[in-house]
Amino acid sequence: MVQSIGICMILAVTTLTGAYFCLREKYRLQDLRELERAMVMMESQIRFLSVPLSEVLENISYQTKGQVGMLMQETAKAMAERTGETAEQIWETVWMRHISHTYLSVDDYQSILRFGKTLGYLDQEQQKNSTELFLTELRQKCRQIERRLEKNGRLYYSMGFLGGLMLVIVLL
Amino acid sequence: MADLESLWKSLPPALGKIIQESCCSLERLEEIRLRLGQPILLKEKGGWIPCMAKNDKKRHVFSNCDMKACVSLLSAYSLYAFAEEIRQGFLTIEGGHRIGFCGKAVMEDGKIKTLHPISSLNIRIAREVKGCADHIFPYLFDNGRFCHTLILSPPGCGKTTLLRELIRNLSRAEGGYAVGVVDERGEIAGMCGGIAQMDLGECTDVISGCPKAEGMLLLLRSMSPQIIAVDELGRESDFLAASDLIHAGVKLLCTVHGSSLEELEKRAFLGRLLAHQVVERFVILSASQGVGTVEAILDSTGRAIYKKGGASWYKASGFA
Repeated sequence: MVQSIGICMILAVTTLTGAYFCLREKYRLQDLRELERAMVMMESQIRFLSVPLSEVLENISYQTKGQVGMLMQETAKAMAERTGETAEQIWETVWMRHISHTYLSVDDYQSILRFGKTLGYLDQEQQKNSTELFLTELRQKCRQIERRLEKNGRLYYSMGFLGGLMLVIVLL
Repeated sequence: MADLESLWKSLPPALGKIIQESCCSLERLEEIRLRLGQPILLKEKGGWIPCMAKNDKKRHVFSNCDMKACVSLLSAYSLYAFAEEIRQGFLTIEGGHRIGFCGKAVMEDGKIKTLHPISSLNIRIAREVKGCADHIFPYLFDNGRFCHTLILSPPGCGKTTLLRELIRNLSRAEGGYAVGVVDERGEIAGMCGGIAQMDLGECTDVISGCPKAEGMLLLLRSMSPQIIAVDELGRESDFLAASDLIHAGVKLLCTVHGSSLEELEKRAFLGRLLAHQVVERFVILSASQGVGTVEAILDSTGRAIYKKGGASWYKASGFA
């Protein structure tokens, strides 16, 4: 009886571990998609509306969900307060505070910070180009994750289950 | 008085601190000149003084890094949103202060597209001298009716300040005149986010950033003003629009560069307007006894109904 319960527990834990790896990628994809949506809005507002960045980010925050929306709102608020920090510093501080609440990777974080360095002092054409460059990078990342999930999504579950099974056999 | 808090908020804190420390009297600060690779200069009481931190004997040289931070903060992190302003060479920030830009002009189809890199900034402190128009205000009326008024003076004698005060007085007069203001360069109202940074009274509508001629006609069509105020008429189209207004039942309150009526009469378009004696009051300003000295107020025939007596309003307010 105890042995059966142990086997079940090992199988459950390893299968869930496999699921975690799969879901983590899915959630990362969701975060990246939300960020992509935000950047598309930002690009179009920079292109067509002559409104300050704090207003752009606030508008975006109302239309984006989750942590990305919250991040945009907080950045907008800090920029509107004008405490003397540069846009890059504000962007970095806010992201640093919230990055642990997202599923984004270190590599994603580096790209986000790189984009932050271009905020605040570029003219319309340059700001638009830098946003487009960041968007291309985000889209590339999304495509890579999608391909990986398509290829390995079920594999994560199976590997988890099979890994557990192997452990059970070894232990027995 | 000047709202300097909003200016300090728009400058990097370290730079703001140095300027405040170097300035003898913030109340008398008129201009701040920031040029790449040069010391920061402050204009006080008409003279220039270099910027020096309190505990430092060296002049603070304005660096590339300072310029980047300044441009970013002055444009509220949104230089891209002020493409048109940069093209025109100036930007009005919160508090009504005017930032002039200079740098390498990037051309497209023979027109200035933008300035890049920006090499110098000129921050002009906006000031309101409340009450400076009170003593001349009654002279601009005839039988209780406001007259078409033209304020003339050479540059830097306080035309815009006086115009702003007259607008406020009219807006707050008994019954309140509906005043429409065409603020092409953002100097009269200092509009920022749709809110006038200068106090122009409750009955004033402002159209900013719009060419004067178009602005005057637009106001006439859309806001049914009783008085239209406009700063620095100069182009032919401005005078044509002003002439249209005068014959449309709207009173005109405007300023032009010049030091005497004789000078104005020699100017092509303005001369034509004056020949018809439609302008009923001429307020002649000078800086003979300090900025804002009212030399005389003339009626449409050129007869003086007020002559200089006493100090300028700048002096009276402790500025000169």
